[in-house]
Amino acid sequence: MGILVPFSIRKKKLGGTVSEEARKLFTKIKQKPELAVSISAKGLPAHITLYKYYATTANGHRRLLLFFRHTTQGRIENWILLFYRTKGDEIGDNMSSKNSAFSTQLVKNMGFATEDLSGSTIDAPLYERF
Amino acid sequence: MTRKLSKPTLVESYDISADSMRRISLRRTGSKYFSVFAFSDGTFKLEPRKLVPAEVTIERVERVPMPKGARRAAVRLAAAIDNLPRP
Repeated sequence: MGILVPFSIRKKKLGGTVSEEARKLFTKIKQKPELAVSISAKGLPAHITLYKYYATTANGHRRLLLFFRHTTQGRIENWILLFYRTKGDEIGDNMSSKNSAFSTQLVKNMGFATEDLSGSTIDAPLYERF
Repeated sequence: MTRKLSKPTLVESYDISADSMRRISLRRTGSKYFSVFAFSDGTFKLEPRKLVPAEVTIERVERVPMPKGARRAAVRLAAAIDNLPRP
């Protein structure tokens, strides 16, 4: 399993670099993916699941949203980071379609991630893998 | 058929005193975790407790309707993941 952080998400959500705190969280998620809350999103194809991950760090609570494409056997599972927010944040507080700010940003972030992944080559990936 | 549980038998009996923080220590416990029941008459009852590993807990699911345009964006992203260059 790998967590991919597209460059555009890294720039917009993580301030340009993946902090030590975020790295630790990614390791935790990889160790215990079952702690993520799957969002049964009406209208999404069956092979796609969004996962919310509630985390506590030394600097406060964090809310992560990861995109997961179910893979067939023999392929590496890739989780794409879409959101990395704090609890008091406008979006991090309520990651549901009831929150219009979240809805708008979700579609945008998926677009950014798509652009980065589509434009990646083996020599020049536009994402960071953890 | 129901299995009859055997009645627990007394294995050991000893007197102890609480420390300055009103804590007591047990000896030779067979379990690491306990459920503690404190009664109004000062009696305490301890029951061995087993922690359940995270992987056997029921998966938490939230049902959320997706915003407009999310489906198309998700399908595109899934396709981009499928087409990721592999070494």
